[in-house]
Amino acid sequence: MYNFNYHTPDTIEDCIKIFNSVEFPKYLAGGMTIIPSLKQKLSTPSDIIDLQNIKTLKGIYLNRRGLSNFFINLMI
Amino acid sequence: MSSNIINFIHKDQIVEVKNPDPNEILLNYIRTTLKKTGTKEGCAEGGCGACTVVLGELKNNEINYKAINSCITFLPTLQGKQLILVEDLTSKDGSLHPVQDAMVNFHGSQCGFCTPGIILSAIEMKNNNISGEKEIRKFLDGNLCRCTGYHNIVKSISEYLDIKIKNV
Repeated sequence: MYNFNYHTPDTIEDCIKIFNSVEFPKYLAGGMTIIPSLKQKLSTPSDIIDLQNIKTLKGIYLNRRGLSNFFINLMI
Repeated sequence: MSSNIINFIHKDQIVEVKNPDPNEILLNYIRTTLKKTGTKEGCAEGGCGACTVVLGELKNNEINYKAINSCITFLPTLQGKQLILVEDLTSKDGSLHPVQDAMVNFHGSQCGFCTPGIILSAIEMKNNNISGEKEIRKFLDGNLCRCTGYHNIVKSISEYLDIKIKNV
């Protein structure tokens, strides 16, 4: 694995700020794809942004208003 | 905010890691620094579940236990959490944890490579209101076992969770 910086932002805004301010960022959700590719040196990001602390990205829920009413979020 | 220290709880004590390497995988830290080799490395890509550990996290004043694959988790993820390894389940006098007892009594382990992961998944099941054989089997889909054919593992876990299943 090549060296990288590790970030755990709490909000989507912080997350985007970090994403735009570094050279080669990658998001980390569950890690089943990105971590094996890091281990094999197929991907060489300068910064990893871990999404696990962002509460608004979690959950599966029904929203009865509007047209789209079933949400599956990124981080379950 | 950036910080160079992470704190986590292991065996009722706070462990402090100064200047953690962000590139270090949790499984590697457990096996080489903590020297707890009960947690195994199988596929190293989050598929087989041999590296399963349990993380406890405080949510709404309750500790939420979750079994995770330590081979695809970075060490800094531990910040503020409780780490439970398979070694931590046996009590000080050497007696086994109820799920370990059940695995022994119902022959749920053969070569034993997947057993630590399965035991920790069973610990998580206890906290997730599992009510039947189907749910146990569904919960075990993240733990591969090539020896037992799962039947004795399911028997052991149902004994531990006090669930009656058919054909025992």
